Amino acid sequence: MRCFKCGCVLTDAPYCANCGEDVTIYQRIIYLSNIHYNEGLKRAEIRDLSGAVTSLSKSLKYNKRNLEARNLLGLVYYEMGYLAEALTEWIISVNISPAENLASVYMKEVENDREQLDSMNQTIRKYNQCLQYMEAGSDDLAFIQLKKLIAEKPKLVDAYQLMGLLLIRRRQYASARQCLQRALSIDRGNLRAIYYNTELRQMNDFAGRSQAEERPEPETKVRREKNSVEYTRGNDTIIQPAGKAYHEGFTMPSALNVVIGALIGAAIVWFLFVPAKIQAVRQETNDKILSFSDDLASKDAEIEDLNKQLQSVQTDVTTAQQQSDTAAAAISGYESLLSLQQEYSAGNSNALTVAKGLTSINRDALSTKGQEIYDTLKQETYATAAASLYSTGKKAFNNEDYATAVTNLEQAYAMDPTYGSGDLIYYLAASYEKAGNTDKAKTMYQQLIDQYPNNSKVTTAKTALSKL
Amino acid sequence: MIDFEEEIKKFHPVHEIGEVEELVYDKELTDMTDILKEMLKDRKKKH
Repeated sequence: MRCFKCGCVLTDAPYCANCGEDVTIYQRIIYLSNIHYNEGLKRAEIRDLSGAVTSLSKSLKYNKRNLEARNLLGLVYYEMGYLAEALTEWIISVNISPAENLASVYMKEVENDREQLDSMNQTIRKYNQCLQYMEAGSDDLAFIQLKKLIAEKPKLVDAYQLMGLLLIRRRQYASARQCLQRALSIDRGNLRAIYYNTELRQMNDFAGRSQAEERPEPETKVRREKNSVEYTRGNDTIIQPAGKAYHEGFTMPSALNVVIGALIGAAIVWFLFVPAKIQAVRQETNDKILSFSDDLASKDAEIEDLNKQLQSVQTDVTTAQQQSDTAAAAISGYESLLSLQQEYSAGNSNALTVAKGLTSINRDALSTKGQEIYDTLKQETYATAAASLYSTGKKAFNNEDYATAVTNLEQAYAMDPTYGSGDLIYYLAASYEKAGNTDKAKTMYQQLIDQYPNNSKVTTAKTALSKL
Repeated sequence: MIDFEEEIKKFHPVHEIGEVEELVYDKELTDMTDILKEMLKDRKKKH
């Protein structure tokens, strides 16, 4: 014990040896604080936690520096589920005396068990929410929330008390008793839980007495006559025929009862079990159908994929075919070109024959070299061939053989459109006109007028055009 | 007989862990020793 004034260690003397202050009253205060602490400790040992809180609080009222009392109070609060109050006491205890204080050990243990800490805090939160629901009039919501909370077996005594109260209200006395027992197992001296339990017991006693009042009075025999026996039961008088014994046997009514019972049983089976069985079979069938549908879907997807592959292959084949045709055309072109060149070089074919041969060759399918040969031959033969064809065509025109004229003059035009500086075009247009091909005639006449306005036959062409 | 409405009023919310700071600050820590000190101080002032 230290002096409250100077902090010096006190002896048994009624004054402080250091400052001389009278410490009699102070010693008594400390003594009373310790008495209450001892009482609180005893109550805590027998799990009367509410009583322990009261005693320890009194102890601290006398001496706030009674660290044992404060630490124990925190522990008791923690055991009752009052986490915040427990931590408050330990924090104050550590502030009063930081060195070698059990409170710091307790707080460290609590901090280390994070899961437990969160769980307790969550419990408190849910409990507070239940109270809010009750205030708002939502008793059912509060009950459901509290039921979930209780199922987790928290330490919070208040939760069990509240649950007990709600269950009593719902007349679920057995469950209420169980809840209150749990509260009392945490805090044996919890007055509220004891009060509710007492009330429950009284309610049960009252119910028991009510049941006893309803029990029927024993019957009393009054008299027996020749053919009947008469007796009373309560307020009723019962007259029963005498001498006729009741035989337990298998009679027609019994048989009928058995049949009816069998029918009822069959009906129960039919209406209760058969639908369930049918449902199970249907479910199995549906599952199989679903499985088959899945298989079908995957097969369809496979078929579609194969179709796409087939189309792709067909496209490739077509492309290959086209390439093959092009190659074949090119080869044929080369052969024709070589043949024509050889014939022309040897002098076996004239310019007209070679020129006609060249028109059947596809120049674009040839290679660069081939195209050079083609162009060379064309240069050497087309002009001469055009002149020959023009001459033949004009002769045919003059002989009124317009079909032949058209054929020859068309070929001449294809080889050299500028031959004759417009004369070729004129005779071709006139041949078209005479042959009845009015559209082509108009086109050629117009071309003559546009390209060769100084040609001698332009006037004739204009006249012919105006008539068409 | 338990009066449900009256009993419900006796239930109060429990403090959460976040309220510890507030509880510590609001804690009334005056004890008999503090009162004794005050009384001795007053007595000395009078004399």
